[in-house]
Amino acid sequence: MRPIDLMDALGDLPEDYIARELTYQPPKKNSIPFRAVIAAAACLLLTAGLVRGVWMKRQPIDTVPPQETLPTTETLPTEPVTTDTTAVQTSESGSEAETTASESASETAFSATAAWTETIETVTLPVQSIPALTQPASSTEATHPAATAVTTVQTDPTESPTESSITMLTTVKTGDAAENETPAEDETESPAEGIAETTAYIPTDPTEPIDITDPPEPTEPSYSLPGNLTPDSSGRDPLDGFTATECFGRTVLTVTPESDDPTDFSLGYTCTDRRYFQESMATDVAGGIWNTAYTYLDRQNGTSITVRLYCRSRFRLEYRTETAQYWRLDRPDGCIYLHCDAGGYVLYDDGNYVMQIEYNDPQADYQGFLEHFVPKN
Amino acid sequence: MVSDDKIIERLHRRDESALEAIRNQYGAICWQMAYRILENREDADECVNDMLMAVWESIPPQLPVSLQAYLITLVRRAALDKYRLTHRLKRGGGQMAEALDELAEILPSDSSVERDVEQRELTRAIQGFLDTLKPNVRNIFMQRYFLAVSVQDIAANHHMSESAVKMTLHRTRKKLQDYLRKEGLL
Repeated sequence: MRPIDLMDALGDLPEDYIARELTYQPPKKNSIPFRAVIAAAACLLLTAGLVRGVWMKRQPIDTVPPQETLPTTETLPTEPVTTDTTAVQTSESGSEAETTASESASETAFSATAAWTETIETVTLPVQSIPALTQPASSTEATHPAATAVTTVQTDPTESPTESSITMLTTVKTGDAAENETPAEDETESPAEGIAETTAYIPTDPTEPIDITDPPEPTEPSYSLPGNLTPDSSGRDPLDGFTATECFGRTVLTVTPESDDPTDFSLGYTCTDRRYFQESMATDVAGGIWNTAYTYLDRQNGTSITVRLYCRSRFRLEYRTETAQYWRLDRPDGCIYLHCDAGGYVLYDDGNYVMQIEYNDPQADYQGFLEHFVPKN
Repeated sequence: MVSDDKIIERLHRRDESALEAIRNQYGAICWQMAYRILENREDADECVNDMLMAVWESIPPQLPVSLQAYLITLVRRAALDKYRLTHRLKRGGGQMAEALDELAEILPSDSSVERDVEQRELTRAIQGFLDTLKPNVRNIFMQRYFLAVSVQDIAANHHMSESAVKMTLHRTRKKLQDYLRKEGLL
């Protein structure tokens, strides 16, 4: 069979086959303005995400310093404390006052952004968090030498917190009261912290607040890095001589030696070896990135090694024949690495005869390339 | 602009204005097809005239499904015949020679297939092979080996790099070779 026979056979194809190809419209690339708009939108989203992330991380520290929220935690004098009777309330009204206080505190703390205000408005504080406020009036009237006064700021949601309409609610917590409060012992020991924490949490469950003061760092998608390659049966590291580089956004391996170490690009073979490798290729997708692995089968001893795609290896074109190109890499140890590309085409030529191998077709089934080392002279 | 149906209808009525309409509407694309193969202006002109003659003689009774495809096929056939005559001994130069060289790599010189293998059997096999290809790949293959379009132009048409087109063609030729082997034609 001659090539011209194939041409003739193509010419005898049915008309609809020809018409189909004549009218075929290749998929168009997006226009530059369109791509620019998409890129700008992506950048905007990314920036917004970053700003939000940074803000979230800083927010609890900046807006809710315990010292500012509860500026006065003063020790009462030894003499009996006369509490403000106007502040003494029943258990029910105390709960309401607590809720109001916490909501006001939340609103004050998060008044910087509406988004966070919305979040905080849904918070319902557990009643147990400040047990002193739930105590009957009689319990708050008791005096104790070690009693401490905790001052909280109650604000009217409808008014500015800086105005004089702020009412001071003073709650006296006695030692007895603290002893009687078995649940949430930590909170009773330091109610000031308990209140401060309510502004730092976004509770999804009233009984189990979630700490967001230190959100987890976003994790980057894991790619199939070259380090995951499996050594061959002889125990050699298949990565010898191959260095991971970035190539068009991909992590690939290049065979260009980075050091003067003669073994850098040896693949375990010496200069005097003359090895032939049958090359095959498998491609898979990981994280949206095509990964290509080459398997080199050493036909002399049956061993095989697997390496990842190498891209833009700095090979020079040594010579060409009608059916093949021979790409040469001068190894640091004085040997020549010769890659015989029997495909009969130039892979890439940017003027420096840089060879580029980049396959994206998962169905590609290249076989039959020969790789071999030849000693110099 | 005369529709294809009207042109065919005129041909069936033996109206010579149909040939003029064909020359006006499809003359350029047919000439380019011939020129890509022959790379000679006079020869390309001659092929277009041969194509018009063939159309006049074949319609009727032929009733092409796609007039453009029919004309392209005719002019391509005429150009290949001329190519055989002028390049019987000498080789080299031109997209056609390059395309033939590329196809030669998958055809063993000592092919066990009889040289007089039925052309339609080969066509049937190629037809089946084309059906296995993805549309984009198939079009690249057909542009190269049917229309003899240069790799550079194919790359431009498909928004690809030339090296990518060459790789695609190489892979497709290998697949064709495997396919023809499976079909027992190689």
